Amino acid sequence: MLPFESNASVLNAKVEFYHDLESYFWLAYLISCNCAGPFNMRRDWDGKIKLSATHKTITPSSITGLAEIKTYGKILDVDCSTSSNIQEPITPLYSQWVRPGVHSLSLMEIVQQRNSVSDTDFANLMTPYFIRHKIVREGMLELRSLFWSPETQSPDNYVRRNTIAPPTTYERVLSILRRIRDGIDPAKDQYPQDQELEYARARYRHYLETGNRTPLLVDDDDFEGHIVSKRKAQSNARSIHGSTKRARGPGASEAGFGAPAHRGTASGMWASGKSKMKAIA
Amino acid sequence: MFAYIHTLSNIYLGHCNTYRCRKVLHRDVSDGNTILLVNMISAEAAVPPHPRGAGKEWTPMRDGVASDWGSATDYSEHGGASLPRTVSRLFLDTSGIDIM
Repeated sequence: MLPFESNASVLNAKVEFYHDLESYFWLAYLISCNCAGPFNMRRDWDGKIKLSATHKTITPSSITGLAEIKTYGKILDVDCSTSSNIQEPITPLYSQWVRPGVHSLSLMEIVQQRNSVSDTDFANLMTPYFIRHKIVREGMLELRSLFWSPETQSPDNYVRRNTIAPPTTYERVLSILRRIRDGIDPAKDQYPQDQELEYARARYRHYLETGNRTPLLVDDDDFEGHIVSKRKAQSNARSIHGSTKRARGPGASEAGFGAPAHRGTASGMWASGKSKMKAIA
Repeated sequence: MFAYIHTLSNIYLGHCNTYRCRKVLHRDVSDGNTILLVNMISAEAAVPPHPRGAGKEWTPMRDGVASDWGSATDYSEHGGASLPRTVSRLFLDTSGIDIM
């Protein structure tokens, strides 16, 4: 799927095992850019973008310092529309590929943005929950280096990555991951407090009851657009049943988790005892 | 964080086993296709309380599962790698996934 596609498989149709390894790496990275904590706590991109609009510029380092945790409100208050953003926010092109809305980018745009991000920005785009661990910062950079050739500076001062790195192996990926895991300082990695757990349960219950899940990397506005017909159907249903809940319906939520547009056949897939990756991330 | 990285490495390990032992390559890795197992469908199972007496470093450990093998391909056959992506579903026996 688009945001997770390995660079090589974007450029070359034949898929090898190490392309899947790279996809999992991008998945892990995008989770660490979009989850502010465990149990599906989302990063508050909107807040940061609004703030950047007042400052006219936004850098990954300023994002990091200002990350806030979205807990209760974002998920439960589903009718809290994002259309209050009257002013079109200024969005830096180079970080669009890590944010909700990435699905509107083309494959080549994603690859270009990935390739043009510096090591510092790459690390700083992750949320504080991740980058407060030195080993995670360094480990993610190390993992990235498995899939990429090193940066080269061309005569015109642009940093480029022209060639694709040689295939990596399961062993190399796993050894880095295990080193990260075992290097995490338990003092900085404590289980959330009871209050936070209660919020997380409330979010999960809400999802179970309504099927109303905002996909991790889908822009709210984008997503609303795709489900507009369902909302009409729902509002009709609501007028009959008098319910105030706005459920997206099983088809919409399941199909919409990764990509809203082209996975409409997945209904019924998440019926057994599982939660998604991001629910715990 | 510990559990997250642990799950991630399990997912890599599962991918490795499928590819090397079963000669099957997933080819469609995404957020929606990567899931965590919980024992029961309930908020308490998904977000367990901190057990009494457990250390501060306690965290629920979970298995990671790759789902939706519809784009997977069989590499044991010659030329499998170059097959176009198809929509056929391989009902793989991987950690009790039920595919549709």
